[in-house]
Amino acid sequence: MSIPEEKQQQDTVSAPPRLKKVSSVKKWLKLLLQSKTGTFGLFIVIFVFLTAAFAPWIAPHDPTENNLAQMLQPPFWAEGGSMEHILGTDNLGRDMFSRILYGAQVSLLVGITAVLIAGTIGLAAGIIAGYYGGFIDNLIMRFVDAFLAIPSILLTLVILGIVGPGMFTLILVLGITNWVNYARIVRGEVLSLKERDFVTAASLMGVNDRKIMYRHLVPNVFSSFIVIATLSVATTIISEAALSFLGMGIQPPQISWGGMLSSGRDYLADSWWVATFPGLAITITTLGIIFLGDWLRDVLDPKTNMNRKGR
Amino acid sequence: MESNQPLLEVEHLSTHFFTENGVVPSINDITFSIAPGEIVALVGESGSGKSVTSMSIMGLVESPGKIVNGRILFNNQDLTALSYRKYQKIRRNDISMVFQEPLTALNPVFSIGFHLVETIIVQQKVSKKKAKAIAFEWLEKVRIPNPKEVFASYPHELSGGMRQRVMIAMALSSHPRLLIADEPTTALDVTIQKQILDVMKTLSKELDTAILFITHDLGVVAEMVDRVMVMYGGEIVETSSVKQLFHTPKHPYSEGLLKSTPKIQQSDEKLDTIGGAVPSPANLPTGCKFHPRCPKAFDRCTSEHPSLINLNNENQVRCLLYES
Amino acid sequence: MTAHTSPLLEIKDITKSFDFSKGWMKKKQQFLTAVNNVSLTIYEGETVGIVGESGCGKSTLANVVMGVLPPDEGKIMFNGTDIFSLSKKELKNKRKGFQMVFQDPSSSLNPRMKVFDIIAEPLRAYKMAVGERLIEEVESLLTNVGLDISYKERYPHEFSGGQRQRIVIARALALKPKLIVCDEPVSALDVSIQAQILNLLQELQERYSLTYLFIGHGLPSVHYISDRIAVMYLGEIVEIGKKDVIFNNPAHPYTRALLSSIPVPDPDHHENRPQESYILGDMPNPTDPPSGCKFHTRCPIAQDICKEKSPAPASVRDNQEAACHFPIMEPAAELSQEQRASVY
Repeated sequence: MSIPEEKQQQDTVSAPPRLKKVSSVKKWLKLLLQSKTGTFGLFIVIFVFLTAAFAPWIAPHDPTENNLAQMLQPPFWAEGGSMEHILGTDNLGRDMFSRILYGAQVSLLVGITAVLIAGTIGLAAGIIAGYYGGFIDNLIMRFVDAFLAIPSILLTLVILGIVGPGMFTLILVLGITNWVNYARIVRGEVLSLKERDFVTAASLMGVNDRKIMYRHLVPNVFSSFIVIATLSVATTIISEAALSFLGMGIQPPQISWGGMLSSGRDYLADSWWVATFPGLAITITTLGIIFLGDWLRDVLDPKTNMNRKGR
Repeated sequence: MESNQPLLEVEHLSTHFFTENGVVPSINDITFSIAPGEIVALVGESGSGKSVTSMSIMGLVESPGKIVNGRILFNNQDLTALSYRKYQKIRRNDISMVFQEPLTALNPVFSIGFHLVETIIVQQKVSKKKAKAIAFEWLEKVRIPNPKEVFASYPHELSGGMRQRVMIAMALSSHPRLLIADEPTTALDVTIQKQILDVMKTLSKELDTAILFITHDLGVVAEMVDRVMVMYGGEIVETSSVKQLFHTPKHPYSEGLLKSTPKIQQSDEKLDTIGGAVPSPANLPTGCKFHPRCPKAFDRCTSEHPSLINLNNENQVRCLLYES
Repeated sequence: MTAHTSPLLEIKDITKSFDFSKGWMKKKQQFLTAVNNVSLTIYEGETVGIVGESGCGKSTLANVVMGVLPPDEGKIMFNGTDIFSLSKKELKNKRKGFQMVFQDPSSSLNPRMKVFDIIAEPLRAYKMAVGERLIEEVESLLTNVGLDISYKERYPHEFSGGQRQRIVIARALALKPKLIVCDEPVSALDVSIQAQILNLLQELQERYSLTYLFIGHGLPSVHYISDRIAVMYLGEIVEIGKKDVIFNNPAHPYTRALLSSIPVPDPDHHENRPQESYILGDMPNPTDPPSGCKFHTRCPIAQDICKEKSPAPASVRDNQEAACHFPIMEPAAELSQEQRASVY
């Protein structure tokens, strides 16, 4: 059989099939529902956020209102408890439930702003160190090593001891002491990105350093960054609680879970609820954030992202 | 060759991947056979399904992939029906495989000697001393110039060519009946590639081992094999003897592939090309899988799926042009 | 063939080594001389191909030419200016004239940028176009490389390898360069796509009178696109000449071995091919290269002098230079004219 020689078709490229257009909200929702822990985490985080935001409306009592007549009331289900104070009262007769609601405000505020500060410093330092390399890299990384060599809680305590405790200083100090983690991880990512040709290509095409960092590096490290940032919110909340417990963090009359824990310590023997409920609040909140962070890591990390393509 | 009982018969093999975004039909209705001692090439581009075919034969298709249809007869024994243990036995003794990147197949903390000796002990149930002797014999067979040094070294200390020789020694030391070589020389330089191909060809003759050679390089095909199967879009579109394929390719895809390979003698003319892009197995066209890129396509090609047409004993083609 | 007029790029005595010294205070001195005293002149409008196996220094040379890696010795003259004598700002201006196409298109495109922004980036960086003009410019670049203008709103991962390489080429063309350094631009692509890209590069060369430095390890594709070919081995150019001279009458034993190792897509060729002596063994460790001629350890015709004295490049025929003490003068048997004719 002979086939007539035919002129090959013009060398143009046919349209690639457009990827199925799924709205991104729908896609994320689908990915979220595939993970039970992720859904659980998000649920808790949203719940805590709502509690913090609507605390003034939900709270049945003024959280700072002393009522010595009602001190150390047990929660409603225990003997002697009442629906008036569903989680009981503390040693000054303040309503535990209301205090926990308001405590969420402080915990989230401190956790998120401190992470924002640490993250911004760390991201910038990591990108600059990784991109420029050489002397600048050495300088930044030795600084990071120095920070890592000092136990961060000790450093925080010393600074707070000098400057004096308070919410604003606490946020600042937590932010400043925690940037090193971001710097290290971001720098590592940047070093591997620099191996990829698009960074070289950009500099060959006259794109200046600032734009290379801003347009080519930041978007590509952002997914790992957001994962560490989320997980760090949890550890920062714990740090805040620990410092407040030690009396170096949030100062009364401002309410914080750590401070509540601390004041409950003395009554543990016969009024267990004063320390238990803030402790539970801390545990549940951080657990929720960690679940959410782990899920984000699974979804955002291209290495574990299996839904891109089959073999 | 016809009188021989085939060594491997693949019948209507289909392997699909059940991903979150739907079913990806990686290979469909693959049928071919290999005679003992024969060297056969499976040629195709990325996504054509050639690697999935080899993985299916080796029983290495992992979830979400699944063999959904067909049989793989090795010495008249259906491999798809075997238990894991029996499959292991066949993989240990009768079918071996060589991969594109040998570094991933070698454990970095063990020496080359350890790899070889372990493999030989497991396969041939011999003493350690005997195994060592066999290992050295094999290192010489794959023409490693300094066997003692290589025996004591670790995988990362060797060049790519040396590592591939070691892999071939490990794969052939059990005297398998079939060797599946998945792009074994793609990562190597041409001068090294030539040496490796020669070693494989010589040893195949010596041991009477059949080779299923998977590649995208038509030059390697011409050099190595007796028979070729061309794959496109998860199907075999043409089987042919090497000579026939290169002189009178039947399927328009084979023809286009041959024409678009730059040759040294024709230089200043424009290269013939196949337009368009290689389709992804997740998104195959209807009808003939090649029709969107085919210069000879006509209206029936878009809707009708051609079957494999027997032109003669050794030449089959999957194209509507050859329907009589 | 284009008449070659003035030199566009002069590579002058380039040497580049990397320091791999190990240990405390760098006790164990180890240098890898990736490029050793390489000189090469590229004229306007021509394509010079560089072939060689991995580790021969061809990619390092490309990076030196692009000004990414500073050489230890030597000069890169582009249009008569030494690019390493320029200030950062001057180099940026000069670099409009020479651009690069990379090997792996999936690594040379930022996955988080749209095609439009990728191609517009150099135009924005040099403030060459804004607003409507920028859009027009990007669209015409897309059309020129055979892509539909509607693709500009998509991300790189939505394209196949060949299409991505077209995007890379469009981006390289944006600054209207005179020279494009192509570092193995087709090796990562499928066979049927390689031809498309090679044709595209050739069309663009004609349309914009481009000059190419084409680096590759696939000899047929380098042969197809080049006017002249330089063969590199362990950091040195061992032979250079008009492509047909090199392919028909290779004078250096390494070139000959390299050519005889190319798998030829023709089964008849192999049946009556003589059992030629190809080189044995692996390339020597580049941190500890052989003395004298670097190829002597694998050379079938090496003699004593080859171990001691490094051969200087010398003219063998018209348009052909080889660095060998004993250049082979007779034409290569296995690539005789009749056999070439019998291939198709």
